[in-house]
Amino acid sequence: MKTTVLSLMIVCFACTTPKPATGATGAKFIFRATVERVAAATLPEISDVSNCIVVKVSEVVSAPPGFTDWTGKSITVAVRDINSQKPETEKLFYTNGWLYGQSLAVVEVHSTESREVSNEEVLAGVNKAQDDGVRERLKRAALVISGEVVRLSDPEKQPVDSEHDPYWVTAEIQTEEVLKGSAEGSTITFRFPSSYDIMWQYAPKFKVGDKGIWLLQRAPNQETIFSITEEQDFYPIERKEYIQSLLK
Amino acid sequence: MKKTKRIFILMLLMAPIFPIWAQQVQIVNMIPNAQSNETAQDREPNLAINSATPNQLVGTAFTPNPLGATTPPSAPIFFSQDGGQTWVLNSIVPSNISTGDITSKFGTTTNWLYTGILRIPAATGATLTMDIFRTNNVAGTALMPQLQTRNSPDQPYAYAATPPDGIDRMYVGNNDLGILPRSAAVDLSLNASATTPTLSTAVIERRTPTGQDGPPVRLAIHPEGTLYAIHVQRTATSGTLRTANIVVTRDDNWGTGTNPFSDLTDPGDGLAGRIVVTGIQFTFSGNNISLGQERTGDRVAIAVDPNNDRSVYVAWVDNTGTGTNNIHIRRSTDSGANWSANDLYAVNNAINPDIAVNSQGEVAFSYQQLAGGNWSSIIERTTNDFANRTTNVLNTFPDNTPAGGTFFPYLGDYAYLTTMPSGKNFVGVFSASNDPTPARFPTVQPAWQRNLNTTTNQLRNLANTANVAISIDPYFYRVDPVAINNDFYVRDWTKTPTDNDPGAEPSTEPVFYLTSDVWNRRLDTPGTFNSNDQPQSMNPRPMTAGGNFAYARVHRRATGPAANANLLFLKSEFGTGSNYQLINGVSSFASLAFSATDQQKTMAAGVAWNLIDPAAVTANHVCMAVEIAGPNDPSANPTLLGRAPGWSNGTDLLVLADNNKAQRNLEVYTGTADSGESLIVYAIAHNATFFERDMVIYINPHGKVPEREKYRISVIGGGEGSENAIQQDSLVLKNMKPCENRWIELMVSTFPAAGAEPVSYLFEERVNHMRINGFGIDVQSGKLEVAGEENLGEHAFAFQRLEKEYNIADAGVQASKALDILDGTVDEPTYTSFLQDLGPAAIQLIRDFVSTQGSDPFGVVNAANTLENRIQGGDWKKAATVHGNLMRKCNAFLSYLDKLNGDTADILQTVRWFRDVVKRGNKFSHSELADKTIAAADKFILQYSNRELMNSDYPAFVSENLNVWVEMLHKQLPNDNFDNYISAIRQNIRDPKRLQKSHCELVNGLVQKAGL
Repeated sequence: MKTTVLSLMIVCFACTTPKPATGATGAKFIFRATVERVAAATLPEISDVSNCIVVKVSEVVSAPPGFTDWTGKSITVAVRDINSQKPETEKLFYTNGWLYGQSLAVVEVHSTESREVSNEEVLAGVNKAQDDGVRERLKRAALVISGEVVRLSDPEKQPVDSEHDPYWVTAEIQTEEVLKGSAEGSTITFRFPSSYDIMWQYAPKFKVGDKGIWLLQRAPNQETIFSITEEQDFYPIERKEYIQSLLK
Repeated sequence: MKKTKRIFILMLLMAPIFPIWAQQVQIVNMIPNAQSNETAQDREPNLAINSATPNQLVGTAFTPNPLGATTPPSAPIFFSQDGGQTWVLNSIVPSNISTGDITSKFGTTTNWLYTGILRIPAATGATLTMDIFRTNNVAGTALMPQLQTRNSPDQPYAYAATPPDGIDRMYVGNNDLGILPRSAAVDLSLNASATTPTLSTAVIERRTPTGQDGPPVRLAIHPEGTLYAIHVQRTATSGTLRTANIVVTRDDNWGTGTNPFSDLTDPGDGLAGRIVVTGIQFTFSGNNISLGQERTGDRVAIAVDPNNDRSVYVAWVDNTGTGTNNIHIRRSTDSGANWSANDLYAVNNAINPDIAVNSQGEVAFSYQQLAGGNWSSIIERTTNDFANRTTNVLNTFPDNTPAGGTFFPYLGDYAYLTTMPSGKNFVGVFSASNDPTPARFPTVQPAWQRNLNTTTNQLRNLANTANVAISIDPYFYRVDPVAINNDFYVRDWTKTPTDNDPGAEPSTEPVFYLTSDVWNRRLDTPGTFNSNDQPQSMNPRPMTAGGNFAYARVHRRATGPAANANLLFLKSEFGTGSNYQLINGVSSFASLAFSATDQQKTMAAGVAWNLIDPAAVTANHVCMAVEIAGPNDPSANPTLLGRAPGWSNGTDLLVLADNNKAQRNLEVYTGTADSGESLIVYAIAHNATFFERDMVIYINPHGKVPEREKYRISVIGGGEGSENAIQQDSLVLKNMKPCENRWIELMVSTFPAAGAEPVSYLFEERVNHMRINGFGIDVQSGKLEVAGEENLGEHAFAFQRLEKEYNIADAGVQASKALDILDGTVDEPTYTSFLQDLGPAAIQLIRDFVSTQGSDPFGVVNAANTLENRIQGGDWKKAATVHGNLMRKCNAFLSYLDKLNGDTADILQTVRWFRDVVKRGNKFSHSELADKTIAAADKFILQYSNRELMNSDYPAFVSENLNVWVEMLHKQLPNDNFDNYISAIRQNIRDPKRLQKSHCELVNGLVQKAGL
């Protein structure tokens, strides 16, 4: 009885106050699915199925590319509360990855009755979480500028041999606008790893003529040098309005 | 239509599943089906094998988390629970999306996996951050907890092993760019499996390189504690050209000293680290392609023979020879002191060398070679230092397909090759194009998990709706040196005619000693196989000559050429840990002739053997083993002769890992139902290691568990400071010294109903999580005459021993009477008459004997008194059970007394233990006399294992070497007096058994004083 009342309250809340779904935070694979079996799994590698259920994915709401292929397939979800799982229930699962084998197993971050949250609300929640992440990086950045790369130095080898040498390149940006912080002159320089080694695989690489927004951090222990080593610190110029909106 | 579909599915379900291991060379693309969409460059692979759970493997590569960046950051490992046939991805490594360099290894017995990585991103302010993690649950959801994080080390390369003390040693070779120029280092933990491990860093570079050492630091671990490391000592730099020396260092005791890796010095400067070759030159190409789409730089490998820690192989890459990246292989046969002057073998335009040596001493060499514009991943095997080689090209694909240049490395700065634990099969990983075109795999087509169109040879996406672009994938491979039509095996287990050991290495069934295809008969006929296709073994007949026959059934994995399979039978004390001996000296052999069409042969006539002579096995219940060999399929080294499963060489899987070996450790006992008397039986637990240890034996760990109140377990032996902890599900025999025996007493108070299946009591010896041996005791109910027949056997054996070993003439009468009855038909009147007529005299004789011994640890006299009462009461059911108990107690007591004077079954263990102490003892520190002692012991061990020497040759071995030992002790341990030990050895020099005891006492004394 108590549960029913609580559910009704949530439904009413969802109906009257269309806010982003809170469970999206941290979940990378969000889908609707019907519970098929309780205390079961789709992978033989899961020896303890006591907190696992098998669900059939009916719709992938938010996930990296390729995960939509799981639509129509049965997968395993490690749930937070096995006792509340009932076969044939349709639910919205907020999950993260676990095992990728002959089938897929994921770990529940959050779940709710499927009809309680619309796809729009889910995506709004995902977007909000992403925006929060960008806001956090903007907050940490010493300088945020838009502009264009006008000059690149030669790669600089470190004095020691390592296959993971970043081969720093210094880029000079013709500043279009300083979105955060202050900068003297019309150009700003920063360094980025030009190496294609695994350690720098996810670091953005630049060429002369690239336009965009840079979130510049001070290079550690080098107060006068900015550096870019993570892909989240660069946005194409087309996203300028978006970045500006988050800086407000 | 529906019906057709159903039939098809039914056929699929009914079709036998043939593992890919049915082929001699197998390759598995490791990308799981769930990742069919992926196009990442999964390069630089590594592999870990869990010896404690030998079908569990872990693979690593530069594989991204399928979900991309996660909170918290996580990167995946691959794991397999089926020996590498299928793989699963699990993101449990704390690093963002993927890792930089990543390598993993398991401890030998603990289930702990240790992983060293370069974390992405590095810590704030650092270019490189090396993290070390561990987990004992590779399939779980938890991120691996961190053991250590350090900035600056490059190329972490993880290793681990568990010595017999059960505590993991972990080593991570690395190039610590924070401590230039001596940057070659090993981060190590000597208690890695402890709750809170401690780690330290050992710099293994003792000279001053120019600027730094090269990135790779590789190790080879011998299971008895010898560590080798190889590194590249830079001596000059010019542009991209590097000049260097290849240096090998060694530690003889797991890296436990204050200055690890100091046990091998160079004669040139006396510094630790033998320079194998000087002045090599190679190209360090950095961020540029150098060989096809691949970069080049320092590349080395090292391997040690698991059965000979003096035999070491190294490989390195330089520009000497034809081409620019030439791999050179050399060997040392004296622990790294000297190296072959010339290359044993060399290949050009190649990278990523690795070497492994299997249990046969066969050497395998893997590499990736660019030739004719194609990258080929190759494994070559040799049994004669590369004079002859067997070559398998596992994969070949055009360089730059997939296109390179935008990611480094292209295939990896290393690949990996090793052997299955204790085994002869080579396993490894390499990364290459995942183009599924059959021509890309010249030796054998791989098993694919990802979706594939085999008509168009295209990768397909998960939904099978679109093609997927080719990329770099990791491949797991396994090479069996024995062709399947030459591969003879003895089943370790049989459950049913269709569910049995197919010759898998390692064997997949944890209980490998109850239903194997080696068995005993009291008649010279093999008997029939029951409906489950199991042989019908009989308890040994307690006669002194010719009463038993050893049998085996041998299978071959495929029909092949006509050939003989040769069989060698061995026996040991019933229980666990006792060393095997030949079952009947030079007559322990048999042969089975296989025609070209034969896949299975059972011996028609058995190998005759008896309980007392000539083997050094004292009990009337035994474990049996067989080792077989085909013309091209030898039994793996080492042999069981003089050894016990689990303890031949470090902690091993001697029987499980070799399908040419099998053992049966099962005895059946019969009690008289409804008698109200308990049945008492014994088994021996023997410490076959070189260490004092707590021996852990699990009780009924699998399947049906008899109710605890129906049986009681106690232990005879141990004593103050060496108590035995008997818990609900385990026995812990504390502080067992090497060669020590204790007797496990099982007292069963409730029998199964008459005619019902026996109740099984299983005892499994484990070291941490590794199951290494075990035995089973079946208890059944039987009629009086059935129990009586067993008891008469025990009776005859006990009194034979009293007559033979203690010259008690009346004992011979007792034995003869029992044997006379056994020669005829044993029925109830005959047996009860025997008890009535001979029982009182037997009881008195036993009482008298025990009274002369001064102790009665088995409670023989009490049992004798009970039997006297039962005979006087005329309750023959009770009397029969008690008679059996008394005789088993007598036999156990006689064995106990016998072993107080030494044990010839322990001769090899004693010599090996002595060698180990001299080798590892700090105070011997590689003196000339110590080296001489070790060399002589090595020779004896080798000849004994090859059956060129026997127990009777042991006194000569000791005599020849005793003066050297005495001189060594005087010189190396001048403050200690071993005269009493030496005197005892001299006194017993003609008696192998007593000599073993004296030798054992000397070694035990050395352990106390030699810093071990």
